[in-house]
Amino acid sequence: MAKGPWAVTGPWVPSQTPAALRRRYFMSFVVLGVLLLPIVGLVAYLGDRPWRLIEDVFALSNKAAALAGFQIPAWHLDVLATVLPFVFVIVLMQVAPIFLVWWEMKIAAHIQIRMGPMWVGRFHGALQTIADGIKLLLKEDIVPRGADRKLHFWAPVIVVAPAYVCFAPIPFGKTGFAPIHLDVGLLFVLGVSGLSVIGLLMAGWGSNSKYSVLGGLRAAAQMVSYEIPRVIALVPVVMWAGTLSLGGIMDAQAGLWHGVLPRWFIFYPVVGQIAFIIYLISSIAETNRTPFDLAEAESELTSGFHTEYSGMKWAMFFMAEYAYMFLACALGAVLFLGGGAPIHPSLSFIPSYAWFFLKVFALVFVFIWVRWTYPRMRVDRLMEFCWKFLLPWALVNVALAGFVFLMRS
Amino acid sequence: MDPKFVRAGDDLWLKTGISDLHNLSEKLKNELKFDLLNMLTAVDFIKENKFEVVYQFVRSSAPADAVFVKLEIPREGEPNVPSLAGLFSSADWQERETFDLFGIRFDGHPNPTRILLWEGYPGWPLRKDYVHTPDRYDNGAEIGLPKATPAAHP
Amino acid sequence: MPQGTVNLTADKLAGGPSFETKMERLSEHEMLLNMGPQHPSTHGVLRVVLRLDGEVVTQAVPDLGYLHRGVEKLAENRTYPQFIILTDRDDYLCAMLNNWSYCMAVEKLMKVEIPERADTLRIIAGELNRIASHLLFIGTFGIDIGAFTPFLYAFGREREMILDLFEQLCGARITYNYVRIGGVSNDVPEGWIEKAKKFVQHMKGCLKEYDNLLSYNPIFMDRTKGIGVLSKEKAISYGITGPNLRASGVPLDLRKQAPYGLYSKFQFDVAVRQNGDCWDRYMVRRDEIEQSCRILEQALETFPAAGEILGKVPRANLRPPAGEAYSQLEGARGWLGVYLVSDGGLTPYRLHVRAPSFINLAALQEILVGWKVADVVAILGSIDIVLGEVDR
Repeated sequence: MAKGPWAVTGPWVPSQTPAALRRRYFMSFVVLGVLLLPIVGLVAYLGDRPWRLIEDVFALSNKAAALAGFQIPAWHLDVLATVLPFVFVIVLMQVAPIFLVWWEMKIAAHIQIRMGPMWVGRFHGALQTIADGIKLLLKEDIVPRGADRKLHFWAPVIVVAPAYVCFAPIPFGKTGFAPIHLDVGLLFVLGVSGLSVIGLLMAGWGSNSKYSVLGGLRAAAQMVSYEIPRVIALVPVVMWAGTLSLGGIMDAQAGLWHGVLPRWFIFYPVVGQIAFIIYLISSIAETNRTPFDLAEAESELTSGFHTEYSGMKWAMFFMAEYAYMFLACALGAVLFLGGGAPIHPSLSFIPSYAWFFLKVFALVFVFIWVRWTYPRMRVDRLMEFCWKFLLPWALVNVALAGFVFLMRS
Repeated sequence: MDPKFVRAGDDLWLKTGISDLHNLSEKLKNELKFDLLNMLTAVDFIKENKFEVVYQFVRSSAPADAVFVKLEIPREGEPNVPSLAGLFSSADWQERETFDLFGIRFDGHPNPTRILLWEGYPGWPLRKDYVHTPDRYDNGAEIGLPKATPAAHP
Repeated sequence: MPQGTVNLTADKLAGGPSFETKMERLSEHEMLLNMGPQHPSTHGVLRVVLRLDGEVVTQAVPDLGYLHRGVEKLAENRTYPQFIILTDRDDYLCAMLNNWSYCMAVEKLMKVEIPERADTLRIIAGELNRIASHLLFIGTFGIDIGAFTPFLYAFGREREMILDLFEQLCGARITYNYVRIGGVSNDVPEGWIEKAKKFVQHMKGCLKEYDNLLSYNPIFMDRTKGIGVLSKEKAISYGITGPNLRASGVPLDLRKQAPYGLYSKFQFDVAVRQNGDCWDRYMVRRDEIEQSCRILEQALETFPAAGEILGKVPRANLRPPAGEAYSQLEGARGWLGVYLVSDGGLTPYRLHVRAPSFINLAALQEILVGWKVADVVAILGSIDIVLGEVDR
């Protein structure tokens, strides 16, 4: 065979990872797992201590004050006890998207046979999101000519604010870890999270762009519609637990069924699974993610309602999306997966908040997995799916749940 | 025209006049089943002072059978050709393209506008006597730009 | 003004003062949406002006020419071999076939004999390029529908392998300038045939992966089945060729029915689907990859071990005899035709490219009407245009 003018030295992408490389990957995971063990052990050792530490500090300072001969007024503690959880929520809401975005980037990359961010922060691009955040902060904020400046400015605020408020009654692990204890916590979360639609409509209308208008209207129609099957899917949970308080629902799921299965609502035969699936689907739709990301459908509407946003305003929409995703997963963990309950009582040495976040991130993984696997639905089919499929099944599920609970009681 | 002159694999070239074009293509389409107007273009023969509009008809059942129809029209004035857009939808854009680049007008076209170039483009670029108007993309001393030095060629 | 009387031609919109004044002439529940030329899914710089009633398209006017480079005019100022590199830029996703269709016209004019080895190499390169082009279609069509992941499988993995093969074959990854008048430019490097065989085996396995990921995905099928139906009659009337025509139930393939090169030697089937909707247009291309793999297998198996790769063609001062020739072949997007008129000089007297994308795109204005904005993207994606070829 004649030798060509170009030597055969070009890169040849192997169709499969060579065995040696696979072994190396496997070994690195083993090593990583061994290294992670002490961290798990540390968390297990600390247990609920960080939370109790605050109370201890209060108690100590009270004692010290008593020794010194004066009384700390009770309202000081009240103020602290009120402010601290909110600081916690706000910090969590700042940190969670940073982690979630990185996580999504990496998972998406591995689903798509690529590496994802590998450079910033050395370890698998761990600081990529922070770099992105700095970039977004430094970017110019562009307001299109002809935009309604007030609407354009307030829209991201109104989208983000309810997302933060929604975290108030979420018990992060145990009933006591909820920033505020609301007897109607579930109702509060579902109600307040619906407020963001107004912000999306404002963004769509205020941008003076037709793509934004279409995106905003789609978002409004979609979020309002999917709210209904979502709420109805949660009715059996409330019926079963007999309370609207998130902590109460979580406590109702403590223990084991027949000594084997954890008493989580997702394991409740038929009713639990239907409710969970409907809840999951409509939550994905609520958070405007693929396959229901019609509001920002990139290939149709360029970016939908946030086409005309840039810099930090755009990042706020993004933060809201991730906050809502986190919220949906947290709710899913509390309502269906037992919140901070361990999968078996023998594993209860791992603290409740670790379990809680483990469950949340497992659900987040499902969200990401779905997003990078499915194509996008069409707007009318989306509505049909909601009104003609999810809603009837959610109602049937409520009836079924009522029947089953009646029989069992 | 007798269909037996059309042999598979052979190109058949026909010449026709403006008045016969419509009848001929109708006959080709309906009777002889040359139902695909595959190509439509023009050639500028400036020395003979004529345009040739070239049509290629193909049988969709047997694409090896092709008939080329040539239409000679004078170059002077505003050359006019009957449009085939009513018979073949594929004539629509191809006639617009020919109009755009040659300035040949197609009578009865539903939308006789330029397609690739913008309205108001000076001249008809594929005519042999087309003179390029210097613009900002040339190294035009004509419009007061410094002359570009040609790159040294090895 | 009553609805339907507005003359919404693209030029009037382009030449008009602004969209806002046009808006007044629309009825109150309609709006104009200017899609492109900068839009993620118009596949380049196509502009489509849509008149929308809610989200339903009532009129669509494609506006072309943003990438018009005057290739046909440039041809009149290039010698015959020089023009080959410009054909690369027409349809930059299957440049091999463009090279080939142009060289075929010149060869027809000059009546050159092409050595068998060169002809087989043309088929191998052409079919590989057809696969590459269809892979890109599968990827971008997935993106149009909203599935991002198949893109990185089809485009980022398999197509890269083909480009690597091409890089080893001719040194270029996109614009090859490989097919020359009378043959091809380079012989195969050592071990290339084996690599190509390995790739073909790999490719066949990948089709199953695409089927699982995209082709039979219920949402994907819901988005594409029955959408943008193009009937057989309409397709023929619009002169649509290639996979788009075959999706409408017309088994028309020049490789089969008017064989050129050595295609009559190979066993393969013409991929046909009956419904003419977006899914069928997608599936025809998917099936064509399978058939191309079959052709490739046979061509690589029967590849002559030795022989000339360039026929008897003058190396300088190539002057085909005066006359005219029309040659066409089955491109990745339809019939790639070249109409060449020579006056016996050094440069073509007139060269016309029958660009399949351009002619296929004409049907867009008709099939878009009545569908939603999301379907516009699906239909436009399924027609699979390359703007370099549309605008030339």
